Amino acid sequence: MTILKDTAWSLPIASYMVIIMGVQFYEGKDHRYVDYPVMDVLQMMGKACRPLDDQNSRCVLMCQQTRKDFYKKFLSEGLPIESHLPTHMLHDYFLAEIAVKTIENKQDAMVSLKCTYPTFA
Amino acid sequence: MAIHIQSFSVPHFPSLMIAMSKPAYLAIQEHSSTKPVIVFVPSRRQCRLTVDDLLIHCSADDKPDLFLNIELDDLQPHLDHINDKGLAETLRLGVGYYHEALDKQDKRIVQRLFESGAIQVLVASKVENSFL
Repeated sequence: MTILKDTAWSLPIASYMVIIMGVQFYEGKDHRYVDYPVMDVLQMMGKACRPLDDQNSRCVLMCQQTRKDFYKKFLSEGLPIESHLPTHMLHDYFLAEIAVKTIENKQDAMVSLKCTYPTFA
Repeated sequence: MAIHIQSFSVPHFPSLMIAMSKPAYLAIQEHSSTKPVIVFVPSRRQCRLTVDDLLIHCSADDKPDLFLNIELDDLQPHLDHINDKGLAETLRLGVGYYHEALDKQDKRIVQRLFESGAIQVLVASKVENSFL
C-alpha cells in the first residue's frame, strides 16, 4: 500500500523565505503529473513566518508559464468556495438540523439552505 | 509578505527542475542572503538532486560553504550522530534536506541545525511516497 504524506504539513520549522520549486508532482497512481492542491501551496507559503524574528517574509513561487496567471489571480483574489454537501443527502442534513432545533420553521430552512449554497437564489 | 512568481516554459519535468535551480540560488542571494530559506521540491528523490544543484552553483561562485554559518569543528559532533551519510556530506556545506524517509534522529538534528542558523538552506520534499 502506498500512502501519501505531506512534509509541508508535518514540517515543524518556519523560515524567513520559502521557495516553491515547481507546483506539480508525479502521481504514481495515475501515471501523470498533477498540480499541487492549492491548500498545500498556501501551507508551504505559511512556512515563511517567524513573527518574533522578522518584520516581513518572502516567497518565491516557480511554476509553468501556463499556470502563472492562475496563481497570480489565486493569490491576489482568492477562489470562490462552493459547498460540497451532496444534494441527495440534504434530507438527512435537514432532519438532523430539525432534531437539534436549528431549523424550526420554513424560514429557518430557507436561510440555512441559502447559507449552505451561496449560488442558491 | 512579498510573493514573487517566476514562470518557466520547459515541458520536460526533470529538465524543468534543473532549470529552476539557478533561479532558486539567485533568489536566495538576492532576497535572503543571510536569513534562513526553505526550498520545497516535489519528491524525495528531487531533494538530493536539488541540494547538489544548489551546491554546484555555490562552488561555481568560489564559495562552496556559502550557506554554512558555523565552524566545521563545532558541526562535527552533530554530523557524527547522523545515519544518512549523504545528508552529513551536504550539511558539511551548509545545505540540509528533510523528507519523511529520514529517521527520527536525523530529522531532529537537521531541524535543530536549521533553527539555530548553523545551516541556512533546507530543501524539503512536498509529497512523500512511503511503502508500508
